[in-house]
Amino acid sequence: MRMKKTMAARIFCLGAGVCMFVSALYLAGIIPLTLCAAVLVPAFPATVLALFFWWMAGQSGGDIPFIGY
Amino acid sequence: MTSRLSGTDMIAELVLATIFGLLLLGIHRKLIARIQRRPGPPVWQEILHMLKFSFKTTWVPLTASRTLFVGVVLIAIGIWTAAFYVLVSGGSLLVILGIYMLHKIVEHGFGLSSGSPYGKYGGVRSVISAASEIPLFVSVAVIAVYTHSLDLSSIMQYQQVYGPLLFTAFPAACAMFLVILSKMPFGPFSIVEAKELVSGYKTEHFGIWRAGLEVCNGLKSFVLLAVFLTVFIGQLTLPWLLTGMIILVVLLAFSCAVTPMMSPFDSVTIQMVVTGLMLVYAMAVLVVMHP
Repeated sequence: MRMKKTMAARIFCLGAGVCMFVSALYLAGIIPLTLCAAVLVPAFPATVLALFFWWMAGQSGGDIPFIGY
Repeated sequence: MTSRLSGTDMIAELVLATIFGLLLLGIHRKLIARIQRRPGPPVWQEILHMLKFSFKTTWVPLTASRTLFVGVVLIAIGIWTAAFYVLVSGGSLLVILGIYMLHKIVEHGFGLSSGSPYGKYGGVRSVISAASEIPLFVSVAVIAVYTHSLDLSSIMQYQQVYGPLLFTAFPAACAMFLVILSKMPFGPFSIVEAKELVSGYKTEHFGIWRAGLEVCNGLKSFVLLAVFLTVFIGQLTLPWLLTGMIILVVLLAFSCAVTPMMSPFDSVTIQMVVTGLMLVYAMAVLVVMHP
């Protein structure tokens, strides 16, 4: 399995977007803190790892992750 | 900590807590070095570690269970994110206690997922060192006897009326301090990170996976120290909370710097002795409070 830079960027943008969206819903009083946290708990780790993948991945082709040794 | 968070704060506080937690780990490491008359790394070293690992070559070993190897990093960050929100919402101390225990299972997962013998031994030691959580059960029981609640918000309200539990339940605070000590790196109970195991359960988690683990460690340190201060001091303003955490780190660093790492057997034995003493104390509190 290989991960391209664009794919990592998409996952990061999606995760960050979800985090911001639920935070905004909580700020607006539409959803409670528990629901907001329930979304952030899985979204935050995925966003962090996707960010790391994004900035270390090469511009073209598959990247180093998952090459095995 | 229990005030309603704004939309940007929900994310910003999580990120800042992670970075401050890493800074605390850096201060911890620096202090240990200075006490031992070594120069030591700069205090922001752990933050640099996180960034450094995120740029490193990343792989999944052929001997690893891919799903567990990757998934356990996500779970590690996820559980401490959950703990952070339980803390800021003034939720149940029992949930945080559960996450303390869950972290041991996650460490075990880290070790087993790689297929490396060093990782496996580190994982096994994580399970053994779960003995360090037992004094926490007794601490929580004593807090429940005093406050009649395990909600952090109720515990804070109790302390606003009756004063900090640090003074009224000092042995329970000592036991919880011991639990935090067991989770700090370079401590006498850090048997999961003993040098004979290379890097223990995280030996094979390198590159991005280790950077993720560093994020988890930062968040974990922040939550551990903040929970201690919340439970035994009460509600604090942000500057006092951060100051209190730094003071706790200084105390932990002194404890780590002047004590050698114990063998797994000695570590568990001491934890069990502490648990026994705490049980006697809890019984005495129970008899006095509810004769």
